[in-house]
Amino acid sequence: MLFREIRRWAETHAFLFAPGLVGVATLIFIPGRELLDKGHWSLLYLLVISIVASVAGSRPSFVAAVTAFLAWNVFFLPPYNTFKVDDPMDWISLGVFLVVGLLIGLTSGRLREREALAVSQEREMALLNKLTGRLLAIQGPLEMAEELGLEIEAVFSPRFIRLHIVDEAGNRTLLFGMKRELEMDPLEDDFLNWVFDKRKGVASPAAKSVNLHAGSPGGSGDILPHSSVFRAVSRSDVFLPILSSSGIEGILHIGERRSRKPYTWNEVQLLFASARMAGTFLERNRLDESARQAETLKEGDKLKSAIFSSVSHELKTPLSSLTATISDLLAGDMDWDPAHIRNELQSVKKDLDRLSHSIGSLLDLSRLAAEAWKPDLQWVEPGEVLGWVLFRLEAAERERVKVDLPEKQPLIRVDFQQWGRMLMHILENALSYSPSGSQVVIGAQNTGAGFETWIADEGPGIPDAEKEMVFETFFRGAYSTLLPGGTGLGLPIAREIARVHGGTIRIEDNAPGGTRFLIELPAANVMETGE
Amino acid sequence: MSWRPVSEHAVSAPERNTRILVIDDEESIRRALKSILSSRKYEVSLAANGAEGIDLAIETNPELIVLDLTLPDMDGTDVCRELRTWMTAPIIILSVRGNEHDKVSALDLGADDYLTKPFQAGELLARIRALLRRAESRIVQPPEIQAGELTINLARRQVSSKGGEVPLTKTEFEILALLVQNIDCVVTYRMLAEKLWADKEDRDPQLLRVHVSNLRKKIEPNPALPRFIHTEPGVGFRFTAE
Repeated sequence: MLFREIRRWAETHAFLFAPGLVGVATLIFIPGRELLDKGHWSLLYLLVISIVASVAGSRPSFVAAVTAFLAWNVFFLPPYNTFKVDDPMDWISLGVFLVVGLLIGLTSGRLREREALAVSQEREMALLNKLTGRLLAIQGPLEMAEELGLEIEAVFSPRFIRLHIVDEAGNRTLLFGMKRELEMDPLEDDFLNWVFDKRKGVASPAAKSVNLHAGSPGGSGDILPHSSVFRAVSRSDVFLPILSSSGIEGILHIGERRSRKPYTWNEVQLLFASARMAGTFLERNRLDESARQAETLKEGDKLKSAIFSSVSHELKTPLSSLTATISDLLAGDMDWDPAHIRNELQSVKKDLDRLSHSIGSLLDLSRLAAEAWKPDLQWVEPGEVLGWVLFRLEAAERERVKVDLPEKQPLIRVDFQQWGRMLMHILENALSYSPSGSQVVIGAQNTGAGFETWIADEGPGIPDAEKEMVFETFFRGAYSTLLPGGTGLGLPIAREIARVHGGTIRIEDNAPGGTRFLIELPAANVMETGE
Repeated sequence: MSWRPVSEHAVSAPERNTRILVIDDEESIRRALKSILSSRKYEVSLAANGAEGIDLAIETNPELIVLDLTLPDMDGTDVCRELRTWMTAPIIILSVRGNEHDKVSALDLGADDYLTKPFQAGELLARIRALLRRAESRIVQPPEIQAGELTINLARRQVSSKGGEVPLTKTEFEILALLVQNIDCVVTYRMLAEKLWADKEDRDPQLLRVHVSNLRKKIEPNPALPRFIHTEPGVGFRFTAE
């Protein structure tokens, strides 16, 4: 830790550190001047130069070499404390010393730069690796922007990060803004527009030293300095287009570092590569989204054509018999007696009821499709809803229904009309799929785990294989051909209503025979009343 | 078990021709209503849109109006508002399933009842008779009303069932009285709340439901399956003696 701090200090104050270290060494060396030969001291000075070179790099080590050259001359070559040299051979030693000292600086400085490069490359690799890994697991653009922002923040600590999404027309939406409280620069819009128009980045990196990415996207031509975009503008933030194969997806704007240290060319390239990755992600996400929409549309089309065929059947059948019956009654060639007319009108009424019922189901379905199916929840008494349902049945059918409700009922939280319509669909199903005159029992109780309503009939029952299928749209079961009416929509609608209430519907066999529908409403929607 | 006022003001069939105005843009509905109503000796005038309807209302001064909510030139609720500025004759709204909201606002604006299309002729006639009867009974109110085994004496504020007195709280009686005075007609939550609580802040529909629930427990033969007080979801309640 201490070493690292010394090193950091040495790096930032290189030109103080180099002569300083030589000076300190000289002060230590002077008391022992007579212990070693003058030539040995030069070797020790070379050691000091090496340390400077390895810690602070080339140029400080040149300073150290010159300082050490002078110090060796003045303090260790007789006569002491002057630049004079007695022995002419010492001039040769001095010359060699200076050359070796400078060479040490040069070589170790290069080594050091290589090392720094290796470190930054490693850091880049790590960043890109991490990003790739995370982007694969990410769902949406916002999450992606947050990940990217966090990574950039961790590596570069900029003052802010903003990610704008752009559409084809160039309209921008700020998807993500880390530290967005920072004031927007008045020129920011101009830069963003420029980046969108030119599909190029803007950055003024400190040194364009080693261009690792020459030739790859984001090569030198793709990023221009601020001053070449707007004359005489000098800034250190970075604007990068988020490019994908289909064009520009967004713009990444990164503020200057909190340490004010300018970005290097390699760092800008790294940011560009990250932006590119974000671009690929955004493009993929966009394409996935449109593929999903196309899929939904296709599903919708399928549903529509299924509805269409069911509707044509359900509407045409009663319509044809209506047309036939009525045109026959109107035909002038017969003198119908009133009893016959009445009889025919009865069947007309039946057809009309069937039409009305089909249209009602279609209305339910269209609301369901329009996602307008949000229940308006209120606390109601189960009997209140049931009463509403029963009074909507034909008197003859109402006679068939036996109600088995306990005297004391809890309140349930449902949408009164929707819950009623759900019960109506199941009740009508039970009434029409069981022999006329047979009894249908509807009952309810609070089980503690929820509110349970059951509707049991004495019909033929539903085979296990079909117990789930009956809830599928337009499934009408094996005996549907034997029984009139039914769009095959009632039970799917009922299940959908139960679902939006957080409840379930399932089918059990009724003992001794028939079908028993069980509707469960979760306990959260049930409240026992006082008394 | 039919509704039988103790007074002699029963209006089972119109003694003179009652004037009814039908405002509906559908030609087939106008035709059907004309046929159904004329054959019952009502005097029917027909309007195909809102403006014509208001003109005819001024001209013929009908005793009842049947108003469709969806009209080509103006909103049915606006027609309702307009008519209510000067006339008191009952208005029945024709609505389709799905526009519950319009229905409720029309009722709030002064319409008296509603029918959901498609409706049966019998239903329409029953509603018309109930509203005309109510309009009549506003002048002379029967002091006692009989519904099944239930006897309600409005003047004495007494309710009895099978000969025994049914003790009701003040609020419960107020609710029952309002429902019974509007027998066979819908009474909206708002009408009830305005009658019960002068203070707007107190008008909680949930509280109203609790009172109605308690009332049902006292007067209904099977409170779990109400026979007298029916719920009109989203709208209010309707008292029927069936």
